[in-house]
Amino acid sequence: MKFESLLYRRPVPDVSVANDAPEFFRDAGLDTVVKEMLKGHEGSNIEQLFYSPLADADDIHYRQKIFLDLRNPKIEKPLRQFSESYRTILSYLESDISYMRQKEGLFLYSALLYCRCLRNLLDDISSVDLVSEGLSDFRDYLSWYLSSGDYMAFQSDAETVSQVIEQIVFQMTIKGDTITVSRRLGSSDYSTEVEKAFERFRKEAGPLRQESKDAWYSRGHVEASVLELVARLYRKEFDLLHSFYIKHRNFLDQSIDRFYRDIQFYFLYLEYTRYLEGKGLSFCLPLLVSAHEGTYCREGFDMALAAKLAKENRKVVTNDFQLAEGEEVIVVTGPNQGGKTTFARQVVQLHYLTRLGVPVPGREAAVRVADFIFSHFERGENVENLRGKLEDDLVRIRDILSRCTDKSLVIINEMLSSTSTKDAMLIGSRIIEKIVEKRCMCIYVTFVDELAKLRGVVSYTCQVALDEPQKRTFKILRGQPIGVGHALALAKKYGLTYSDILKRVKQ
Amino acid sequence: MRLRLLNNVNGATDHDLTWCAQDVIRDLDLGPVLEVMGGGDEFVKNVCKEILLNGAVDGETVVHRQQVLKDSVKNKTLIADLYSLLTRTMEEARRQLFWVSDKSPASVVFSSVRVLETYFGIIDQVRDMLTSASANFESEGFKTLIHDLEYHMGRDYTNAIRRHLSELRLEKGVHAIVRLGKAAEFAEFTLSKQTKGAVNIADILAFRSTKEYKWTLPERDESGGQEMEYMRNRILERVAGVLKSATDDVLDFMSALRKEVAFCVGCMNLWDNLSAIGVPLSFPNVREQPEYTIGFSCLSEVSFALRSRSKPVCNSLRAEGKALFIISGANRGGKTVFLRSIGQALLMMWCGMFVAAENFECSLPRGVYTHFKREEDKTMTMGKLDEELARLSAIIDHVSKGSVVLFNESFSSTYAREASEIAGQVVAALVEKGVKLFFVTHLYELVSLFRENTKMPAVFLSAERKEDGARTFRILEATPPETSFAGDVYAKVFGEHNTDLGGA
Repeated sequence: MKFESLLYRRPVPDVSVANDAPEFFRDAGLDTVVKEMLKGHEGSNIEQLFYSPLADADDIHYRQKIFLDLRNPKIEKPLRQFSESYRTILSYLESDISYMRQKEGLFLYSALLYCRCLRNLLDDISSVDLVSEGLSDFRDYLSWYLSSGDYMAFQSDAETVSQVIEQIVFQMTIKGDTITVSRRLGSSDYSTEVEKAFERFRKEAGPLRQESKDAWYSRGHVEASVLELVARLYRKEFDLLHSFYIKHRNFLDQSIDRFYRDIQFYFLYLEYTRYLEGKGLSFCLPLLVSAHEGTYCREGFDMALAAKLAKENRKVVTNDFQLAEGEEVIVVTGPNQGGKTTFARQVVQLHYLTRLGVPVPGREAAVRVADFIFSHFERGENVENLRGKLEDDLVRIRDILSRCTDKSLVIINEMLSSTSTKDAMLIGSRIIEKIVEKRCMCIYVTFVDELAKLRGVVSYTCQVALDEPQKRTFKILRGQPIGVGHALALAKKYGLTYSDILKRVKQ
Repeated sequence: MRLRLLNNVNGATDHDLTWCAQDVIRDLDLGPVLEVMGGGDEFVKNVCKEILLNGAVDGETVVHRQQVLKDSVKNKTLIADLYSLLTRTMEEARRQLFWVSDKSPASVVFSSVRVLETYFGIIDQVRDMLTSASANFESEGFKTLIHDLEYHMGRDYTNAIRRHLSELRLEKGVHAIVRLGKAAEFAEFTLSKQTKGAVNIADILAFRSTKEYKWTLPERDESGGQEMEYMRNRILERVAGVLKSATDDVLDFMSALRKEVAFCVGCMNLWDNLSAIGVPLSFPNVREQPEYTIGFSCLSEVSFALRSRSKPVCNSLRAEGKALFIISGANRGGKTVFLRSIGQALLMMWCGMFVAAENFECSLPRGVYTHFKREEDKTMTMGKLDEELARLSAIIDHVSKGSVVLFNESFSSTYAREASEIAGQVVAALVEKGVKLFFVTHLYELVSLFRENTKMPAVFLSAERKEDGARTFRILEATPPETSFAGDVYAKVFGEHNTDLGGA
């Protein structure tokens, strides 16, 4: 029996993983998101997974269901524990200790940890309901593996040896530069006796909290030398340990190793989303819909900005997004710094992450699976030749329009800002007409309000607070805002009206 | 043993005022009061501040503390001596602990043993000092303390501790029982006591039949030396932890005792100062029935008395069943001083102190909160109202039935109509929730709102003003006045009469 992959459904395709990020990655702010996510895991093959979107809905579902299972703490917790233990095992097996007794001891420890973490994992997940094919395949495999003859023999050897080693107790005296060891045992624990003597000063009853001692102090040559003397006191026991080491040198199982490596992708992603969830934001697994079908995302946000604001403990404004069946083109208008670009990024992230099969920013979403994502973002660069720049922009747009299909997502951000309004309007409406014709989905961010009134276009606008027009709300809405008055409104804001106070004051 | 001199001095009440300490201290002008209590000792001042702002949990604790303070009045010298002995010890301890903290277990053992030897000498002194004067104490608090010191920290016990401390000087090396772990590592080190000579025949026989191996650290083996030191530390880790927390615990015990005694010292300082000025002092009565009782005679504003070094104008009041007190009337007529005197007395009563009145009775306040107009708030901008509302909102988060809130010219940063509307809603809701309110205001609309509200009976108080317009700075019960007196103040300051300024 064999377990192949937690990332791709069976039969595992001959996947071509991309080594570099797609073109729009930086525009969409995904480069910082991925960089942040992989902090401490640089150089692992997980990075490539983020550059290799899935094309097929079934492949996306394969990962989504694993995420769905991981939402169940009864599944996630045991898997995390397994992963932690496995990481430890790998680090021990790869360590380069040269003293024989110590090396063999650490080997025994790793073997025991391996047996224990696999057994615990199976016990913990054996009776939970799994919706994902990936995890249930793995569970079947694990169950088969743990009852295989080879494994059973290995486990039993490890347990026997450890029982023998753990029974070894000796007396040690350190005086000056000399250490003496013998099998003679002195009187009992003196620390406890001292603790009892001072007990009456303690405010809380019960024993002292144990200082956390590092279990793996660096085992140096003094321990090695003394251990050699102890091995003379307990010769039989240490011979047994040696033969265990010789017999089971390569005990790791390949399928389990693969599983350990694959599941890191899920953990890394979840770690990041949990952090943002802790700040009050939501992630969800999107429903997959086809091109031109109704699509939406409630309480979506730009992950890159959210992570930045969360670090500064600032509030993140979420935005909804919705297109009915047959609606394709959104034109976003509004004041500068009002959140237009953020909104555009949010939509790109939503669509790209959906294709990775991971949870997307938002409380609830139905997402059209886009075949390609194209973006053209205005870069802040200083251009001397405006005419040349406009030309480059238009070439790029033409290129996008020739490559995109009616299943593609096109994002165009603040193009033409360096031309006159009249020109921008003229060119803008032409381009939008073409996009509408193409029937591809598009987010068009512009400072030209008139473009929002074109036929076949859905208008989204940055909202401003009526009472404090200088203040940006970063809300992008389809529809008109409702204003508020002042005086008592301020009291209301602080929860100081009669009925608010009645509710707030404790009994 | 637990210290109970002040009964729960360390247990926070539900109405810990530390979050708004700055406001309360400023609004009630507690600065001079705390200075006098401290008498030049920062520690005493801070302890008094902390206790004053943290109240007592219940009426029983109030009575308990009152008795302790009555005992303190009788034993002023002993209390002062006890405080200075403990203070000297703490200062010495701080010096010694400075170099104990964050060191290896071996050096923690070394220094803790020496520090503890000092501490136990002090404990003997404190115990002997108090037991020899035990006949002079009547309060539950002091009697329990003396009993506990004799019972838990008698001479036999302190001597037993000294024997352990001498053993822990470890003059014959460190002995341990070591157990191997799953990785054949030295998993567990257990310190064992040095055996004095042969214990019994069986042990000696066992010793003879057992091999013993020795290993000696080569010269100049530095890393080996570190590893040995590490093992020594592992063996001593637990006992070092025990000694470290014993040191902390004993120090905590002495600090806690010092803190409780410091409060008594602070109260005595205030007592002596106010008595010298001639301000009447008394221990207040906690009275829960009938509801909302408040009664006092000749209540003084303490900081006013301390600043002016003279007996100030005092006020009397008696009311039952009324939760709302609206104070209005002449500007500069003593309204704020009156409001402060009530706030101070409630706080002092709440933490078990005496008050500056001939007599005082009231239900136990569950926190005393202040919402005073900020003197610097002179402009009428939304920002100020914003700030005021935010401050009030924070108070709302903390009050509950039985709390007292003192308002002084609140919401004056906005237009009178809006201010009255907001204040009206706030007051009605708080009173309905059983919060007691004292509200100094010039908002005529607010006053008339509650004058006509029969469901919410209020006591109206007013700054007294003689026929000739002179102020007495006394606050009397009155129907709400219909005029403001700003014109008078203006006239006094500028020496001219301008009726336009004071108009009703």
